[in-house]
Amino acid sequence: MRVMDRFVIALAALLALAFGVAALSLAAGWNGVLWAVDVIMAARGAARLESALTGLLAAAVGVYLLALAGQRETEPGNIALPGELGDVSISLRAVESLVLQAASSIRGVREATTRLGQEEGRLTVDLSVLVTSERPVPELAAEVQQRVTRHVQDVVGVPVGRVSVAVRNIASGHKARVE
Amino acid sequence: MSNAAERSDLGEIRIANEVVSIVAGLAATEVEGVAGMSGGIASGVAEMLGRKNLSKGVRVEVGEEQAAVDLSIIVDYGVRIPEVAWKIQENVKRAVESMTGLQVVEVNVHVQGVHFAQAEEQPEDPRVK
Repeated sequence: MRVMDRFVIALAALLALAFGVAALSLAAGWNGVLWAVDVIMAARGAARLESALTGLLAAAVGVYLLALAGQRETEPGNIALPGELGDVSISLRAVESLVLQAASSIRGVREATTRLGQEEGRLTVDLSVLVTSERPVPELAAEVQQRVTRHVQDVVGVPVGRVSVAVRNIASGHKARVE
Repeated sequence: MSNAAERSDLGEIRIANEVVSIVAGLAATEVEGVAGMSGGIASGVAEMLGRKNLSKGVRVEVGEEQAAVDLSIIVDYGVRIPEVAWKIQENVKRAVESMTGLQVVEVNVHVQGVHFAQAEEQPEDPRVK
């Protein structure tokens, strides 16, 4: 998520919070809020600009958030396998879930996220993993690379160029031993 | 809606796009390893409302004598995707050609996702019983 999005969401949260607090204190019978409204109404001439600005800000935040919610995630693309009877294309999202399945079934991998790309007809895989401390990391990383490469080549039938593994963090604590 | 038209001595035979779509969709889901068709958001909503959509995920182009089919599918986890795709192409081509008499020029298969069966999803046995 970009910084801008975070900022706007924080702003929206603040506005919602202020509104909620005002409504709650009205409900609780505290008329201070009404009094504040009275003051604003009385000083309308002076407060007009402020209230217009606040309204504008709130509206802009609303529009931005709506646009953000309506925006679809960008599709990562396809792998194309031309054939005699017509093309076969495999969406990279499908391959992504295969990679994640292969990676997270390895002992010592707690969580994995991935990003796929294509270079000269070969698939490139960038994996970021959260590991547990039960295995040496180099050994684990090598196994991840081997398994992902083999799995993707078997299932998708496309050669894999490189698999980079980034160990994002080492999870503290052990996995629950009993379920 | 355009239709395939054939002239015979007795009159014209028209085959609606929808018919070709349904034939192609059924032929595709028949293939082993295909978890289902993948329609857009609109067809997902229609399905929730209880409309069974047999031509979900199928787009056809039907001419006078020829047809081209685009299929969006979801495959089962564990299958070899190209093999399944080739089987789909053959099966769809055969079904559409034998049932409608149209010549199928291409069947494009788009694999949109992988379906993980819940029952088989046991990555690790618990160490303690």
